[in-house]
Order: sequence, then structure tokens, then C-alpha cells
Amino acid sequence: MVESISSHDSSSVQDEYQATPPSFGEDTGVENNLGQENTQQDEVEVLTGCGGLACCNPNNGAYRFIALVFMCFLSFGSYFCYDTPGALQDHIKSDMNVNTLQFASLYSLYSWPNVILCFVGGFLIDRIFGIRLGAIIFSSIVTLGQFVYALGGIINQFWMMQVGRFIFGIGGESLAVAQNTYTVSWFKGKELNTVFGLLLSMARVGSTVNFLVMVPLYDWVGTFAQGHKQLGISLMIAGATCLFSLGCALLLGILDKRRTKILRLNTAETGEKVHLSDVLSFPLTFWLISVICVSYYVAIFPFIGLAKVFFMRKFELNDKTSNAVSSIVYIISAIASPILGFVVDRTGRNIFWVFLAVLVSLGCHALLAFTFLNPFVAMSILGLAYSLLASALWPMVSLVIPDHQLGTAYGMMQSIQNLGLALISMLAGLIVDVKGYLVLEMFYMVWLCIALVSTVGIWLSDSTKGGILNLSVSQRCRREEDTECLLES
Amino acid sequence: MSSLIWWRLMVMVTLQVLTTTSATRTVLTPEVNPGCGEKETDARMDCDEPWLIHVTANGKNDSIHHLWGTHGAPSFLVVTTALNTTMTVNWTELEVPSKASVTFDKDPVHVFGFSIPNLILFNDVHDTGIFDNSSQRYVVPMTDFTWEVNMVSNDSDHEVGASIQTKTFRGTSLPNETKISVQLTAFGEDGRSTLLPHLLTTPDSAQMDMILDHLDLNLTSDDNKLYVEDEGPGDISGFANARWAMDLVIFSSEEIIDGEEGIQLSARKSLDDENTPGVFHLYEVMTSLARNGQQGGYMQWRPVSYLSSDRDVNVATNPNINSSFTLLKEISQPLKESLSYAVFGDELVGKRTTAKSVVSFGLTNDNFYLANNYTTWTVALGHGTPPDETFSTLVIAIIAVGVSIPVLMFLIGGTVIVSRKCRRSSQPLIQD
Repeated sequence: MVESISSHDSSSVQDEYQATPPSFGEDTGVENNLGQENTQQDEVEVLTGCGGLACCNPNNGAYRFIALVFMCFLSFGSYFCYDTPGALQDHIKSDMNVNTLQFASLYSLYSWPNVILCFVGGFLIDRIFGIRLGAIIFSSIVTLGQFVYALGGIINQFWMMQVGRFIFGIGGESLAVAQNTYTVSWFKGKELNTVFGLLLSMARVGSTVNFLVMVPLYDWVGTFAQGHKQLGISLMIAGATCLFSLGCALLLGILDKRRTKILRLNTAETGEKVHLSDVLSFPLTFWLISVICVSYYVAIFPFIGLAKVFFMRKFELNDKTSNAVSSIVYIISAIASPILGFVVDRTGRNIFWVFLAVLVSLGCHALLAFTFLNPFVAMSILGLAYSLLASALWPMVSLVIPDHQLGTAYGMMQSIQNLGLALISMLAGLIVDVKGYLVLEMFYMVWLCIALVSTVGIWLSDSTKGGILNLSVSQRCRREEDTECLLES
Repeated sequence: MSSLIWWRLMVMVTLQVLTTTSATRTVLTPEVNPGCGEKETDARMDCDEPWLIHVTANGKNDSIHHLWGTHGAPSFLVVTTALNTTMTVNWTELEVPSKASVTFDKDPVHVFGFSIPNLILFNDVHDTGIFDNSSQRYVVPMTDFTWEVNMVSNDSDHEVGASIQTKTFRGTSLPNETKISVQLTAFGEDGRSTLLPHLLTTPDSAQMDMILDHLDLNLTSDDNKLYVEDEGPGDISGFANARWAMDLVIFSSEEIIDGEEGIQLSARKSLDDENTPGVFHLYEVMTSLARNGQQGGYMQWRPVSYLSSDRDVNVATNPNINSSFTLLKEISQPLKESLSYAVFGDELVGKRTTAKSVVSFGLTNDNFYLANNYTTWTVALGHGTPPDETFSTLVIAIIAVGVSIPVLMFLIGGTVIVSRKCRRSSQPLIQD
């Protein structure tokens, strides 16, 4: 889930930098189609049936609004189910009789397919399935994955749960790409940034709701089933959210088909073009950003996956409170991301913000490791720091990589990130089993130190080349001699 | 700020160096039943039974005698004496106890230890893991068991041990897998036990590790043949929510003083779970001397009971000790036959500080004893004051890195900025 969240962040913020993210490159069909829209919409087919009503008329805002609702819920299921292992960590370990290392594999297996898929997901949508079929297929894969995972619980076969998570991973990230493509196609030139912000918040809502409802659900299932059956049935019920999202994909497909037909648009495309040979020409700064991308996110996502039992054991929180504390990072970032995104947009100085975010996160992990202070405090601050980092880090890529290579650059970063997360999730699980949670926290702090050194590395390497990355917005505008930009800021 | 942290680190490292170089003891090979069966009068005694396993640990100024015995109530004692003090056992008295039968030629400086007079099987209807007096229960006096010595080990000058296990229950042999096994170790230096939960050791300490293994005894029938449950797998002796607990009697040679607290329990939190993954608490029992930082007696354990032989914290439950200690009022039969009575005699009641409590094994939703059929409890006991936890070198090294890297980054950043400003101010014309 990490990467797709991040690409939302980047997309929404980049737009303000007038850099072109992969999802809506100028050379794509989307742009042209949207251009045609204005000229063609007057001579549309005669609208029959409900076509006369505002909500059925693709030209009308109400029609877009209805589609927006489905877009929001398109990936709700996958966001909800992504963190089901985290929310039921203790139960999975005791019901399935597995250790933390095996438990952590449920997260790393999600990441493995995406080491490759983040390169080809866009290609599959553009060239093979098309956006509508693509969204439906990826939703189906997500749903299938969740049900295989749940079935593994019901029949007490942990390997089957692992297979389920792998399948789930194949669908999850690509579904997010499909969601982005839909959004760009429907809202480009209209309310795009707002919609991206909304989708991002919905993603966080999905994760939060998961952390809040899984334990009550599990307890309720406990009234008629016990042990691995209780677990499997709970996960099966959680899978209903995936079915719901699949329903949204189908309805959205119908809406989109109707819209394309009536407005005579071409099919929407992601426009992601990946040329691996470009990778060789990427500057050092890009690779350092990738290092931060792995080393920072490691201290957030695998940590949230393992945090529940840590809070229960060290801070003596109960089942439900632990999950609430884990979810606070998501809640905070749902609220803070748009605000901090705005702040970073207005002030520039991205490197400074990244440095601050990493430093504050280091402090939060130190609080968790060396004090018995209620983890609510540390996790809330961590939520802020995480939002700040996401807002400041991703736009930097568009500042150091030429527009036409951005697709490859983001693909590469996501691939590295997935590889890192897959490996480090496992290692984190192993550390918990063998060395305990204090050493686990130390492990995360070492990664954050690496992120910190990389940040300073970026700053040094950037400043030798003139230092565009840490300019304030007005300085940046002045350098680009862009008067419009100056006027805006 | 950072210099303060550095100072603390320095102090911690120094402390660690100091503690590791403190005095050690030479621990001698355990003697099993020394002198047993030598006299004609005790010739018919079963000298294979672990009545008394004796380990002497000699230091510079004094000796520690570790006494372990499982006849009657299994008992584990730490006796501190002057150097070269000889222990004498009156075996006739030990077998038919009427007064103290284990004596020392010079009076011991301090004695501390604990006994387990009874096992308790209770039905935990509310699934709390905690035994209370209203629970349905069967009390099994430890005199129902006989024991045998499995192995005596002599690993080094600083670590020796003995492992013992139950042999019969109510006169009949136990099946192979059904047993209580106890691993005892005496230490001669500061460090940690190699066995999870890796408790701290001192030169004056020993460790008892007890495993209740496949203990599905049928206690409903008086018929001795039917002691092992072979009916439904879901319960023990008719208890669907069966858990084990044990009576615990702790005693010391310190005399009862009116109005003063005797033996007390304290629970501490510790930040460091490196040696006992996932466990952040530390329980300690101290005599009043130990609480005042003097040479008393202590027990120390991590509140974790592993439920499988690979000792994985993911498959674990809690040992719950009832913290309201009461003085021992009477000497039950298992206690009377035990090593604690052999050392103290009738002084155990009324004169010496004692504490009676119950330890039960369980935790809500751990699916009761039968789910794993295996429960451990590991306790360190020793003379002096309980050792303190310290961060390991690994953790300290990482803290040092974690503190110095941000500082270093600020320094580098500051230097670069300052040097640039200097350059800029010295060459103002080149800019813009």
C-alpha cells in the first residue's frame, strides 16, 4: 500500500510544481482526449432514458460525483485488507501457531510481486486489459487473494494464507495504478488535486477502519467459532470489503464506458512509459532519494505491522487500544497530509523538510524504545512526520529527473522500495523473535540514521550542482524565470 | 543535551565493566545425597532419590551452599556460611523428620530459599489465569511424587547443575512423557543463564527451571491405576478449563520483627527485552535485608512461562503470583518432609520470616494447560541483592551511533553553511 499512497502524494503535489508525473504525461491520449472534450461535447448523441437527469448525464458534475464515490471505494477493500495481519497479529500467531518471522512473511509476500509489477502494471492497463477491464481484473485478484488467505485460516494451513497474501499483492498495487488512471481521466483539468487528496484520505480511512473493526469482528466471530476457524471466518468477512470494491470496479466500468461513448473519448491510459535503459542516466541524487525511500518507510510500515503486540507487551495496552494506537498514524496523516502538502508547496526547501521529518521520526522511535510514555504520543508525532516526509520527498524526484523519464524513475523507486520492504519485514520479524522489541526499535533507528545521512548526502550533492532542491519556492521561480510562478507565490 | 547522554553512556559502560570484574566463586561438583546409606541405620534408605543435592561455591571470604532436594516438598536453598564450614546430614532424622537434620559446624550467616508443598489443579471458569480460593480445585501434595536424578553436570568452575524429574505418582510409574522436570544450576560469576528467559546470574545465585510436561493426571479417582487421563482430550480430571498452580513457601533465616515487613514481592518494568524477547517486566522477591541493600536473600524472574520446548515467546503464558504474602502458620506434611524443615526445624513457623503464596500459570485466551501440555517457570534465587539489568554492548553501541549521527549531520551542515557564508562575504562580486 505504501507506494500507491506515495504516488498519490507525488501526483497531487507535483501538479503544483508544474512537473509532469507519469500518470498524466502530456504525450498520453488522456490529454488529447480531454482537449477534444470541449469541442465535441455540444454535438453529443441524443441522451435517452435517464440521460435527461443530471446524475445520468456524463457532461454534468453530478455524474462525475457519482463516479468519484465509486473511485474512492475502488481500492477501499485492498486498503482495508492490507493491514488485517497487523490488526490481528496476536491472534494470527496463536491461532495459526506461527512465530513473528512467519507472521512478517504475510507482509513481505505482499511486496514481492510488486518488485516487478510496478514496472509492468501501467503497461498491462494500457496495452493489454484497458483501464476498465484492468480495474475489474485487479479487483478480482485482490478479492481472490483475500479469500485464499482467509481460507488458509479456516483450514488451518498457514502456507495457504501466505499464498493468499502473494495473490493479494499482485492485485493491490496495480489496482492503485488503475485508480490513479481513472482519476486523471475523469478529473484532469477539473478538481484533480482535491480528488487526489480525497482518495489519499480514503486510503487512510480504509486502514484506520480496519484497525478499529477487526478486533470487535474477531470477538464476535468468537461467539460461534474458535481458534483458526474464528480467524479464518473473520478474514472471510473482511473479504466482503473486497467484494464491495469489485462491485465498484464493475459499476465504474459501466459509467466510464457510457461516458466514453457519449463524449466520444478514447480509452483512458496511464501513460506510464518505462525504459529501463534510462536508469543508467539517473543522477546520484535520485539514488539517494531511493535510499531514503527504503530506509524511512521501513521504520513506518513494517513497524505498524508489528506494533500491536509491542504495545500490548510493553505498554500493557489491550487488544483494541493497541490497534487504535497503530491506526493513529493513518488518521493523523489523513488529516495532516493535505495541510503539510500545502505548506511544502508554498515554502519549498524540500530537503530541510525531509531532514526534519526523519529527525522527528528518530525521536519518536527513541521515545518508544527508551520510555514507557503512552505510545499514543509518539505515534501521533510519527503520523505528522510521516505525512511531512511524503509531501516533501516525492516531489523531489520530479525536480531531478526529466519529465519523460519520470515513469521509469517512479517505477524504479517503487521497485526498490518493495524489495527493501519485503526483505526488511522478514528481518524485523526475526529480530522480534530472537532479540526482542528493544533491538527491533534499535534496528529501525539505524535505518532512520541511514535516511538522515542520505538526506545530508542529497543536500551536499545537490548544492554542488547549484542546489535546486532546497530552494524556497520564490527562489526556485526566480531561477526558472517563471513570472506566473512568482505571482502565484 | 548530547553531552549529557554521552556521560550517561560512559557511566553505564563503566558500571558494566565494574560489575563484570567483580568477585567470582569456584563452584564445586554437585554431591548427591552425601553420606547417605553409610550408617547401618539408614542402609535401607533409597539413596537414589534426590533427598539432598549439595553444591559448594567458595569465594574469597565465605562459602555459599546450594541445597536442593525434592523429597516431600521440593525445596531450594541458598546457605551462606564462613569459609570451610562443614555440612552434616543426620540421615535418620532426615527420613523421619522431627527436628533439623542438616546442620553446619559454624552457624550460617544467612539462609534463604523456597519450597513447593502442593500442586493445584484448578478450573479457571472465567479464563483469567489467576487462582483464587473460590476456584474448583484438586490439591496434590508433592509427597505424591517420587523423584530421580537424571544428570549431574560440571560445566566449568563457574557453573554446575543437576537435572531431576518425577518418577512415580501415588506409587505408580509415570508414563514417559508425563513428568515434572527441574533443571538446577549454581553459578559462580555474574552473567546470564544460557537458558531462556536468560535470567541474570551472580556468583551467589542459583537458578531453578521447572517444566510441567504432559501433566494430565487424573485426580478424580482414588484408584491408583487410573491416574492418567485417557478419556476426552478436552479436560483434566473433569475440569474443562484446567490450569496448574502451585503453593509457594518462601523462607529466610532473618527473624520476624513485629511491625516490620518481612519478605515482599515487587514488580519492575524494564526497557530492555533483548535477553527475554517480548517481556518487559521483572519480578523480585526480597527479604527485608535485601530490600535495604544488605546481604539478604532474593528471588528474581521474568513473568513468562513458555509453552513449548523451543521457548518461543509467541507460545507463552504468564506465571501469576499472588502478591499478598502471608506468614506460614503451620508446617504441612510435605513441608515437614522437605529440606526446608531439615535446615530450619520447627523454627520455620513463628521465628523465621516466611511468606506463603500461590503461583498459577495462565493468561486469558491461552486455551488452558491442555492446549500445549507444557509449562515452564524459571526463577533465580540468591544471596545479597538482586542484580540490575543493564543494556547490552550492542544496544549501547547503537544508541551511541543514533545520538552521534544527527549531531554529526548538524556539524557537517553547519560547517558547510558557515564556510559558504565566509566565501560569499569574501567574494561578494562573484555572486549574482
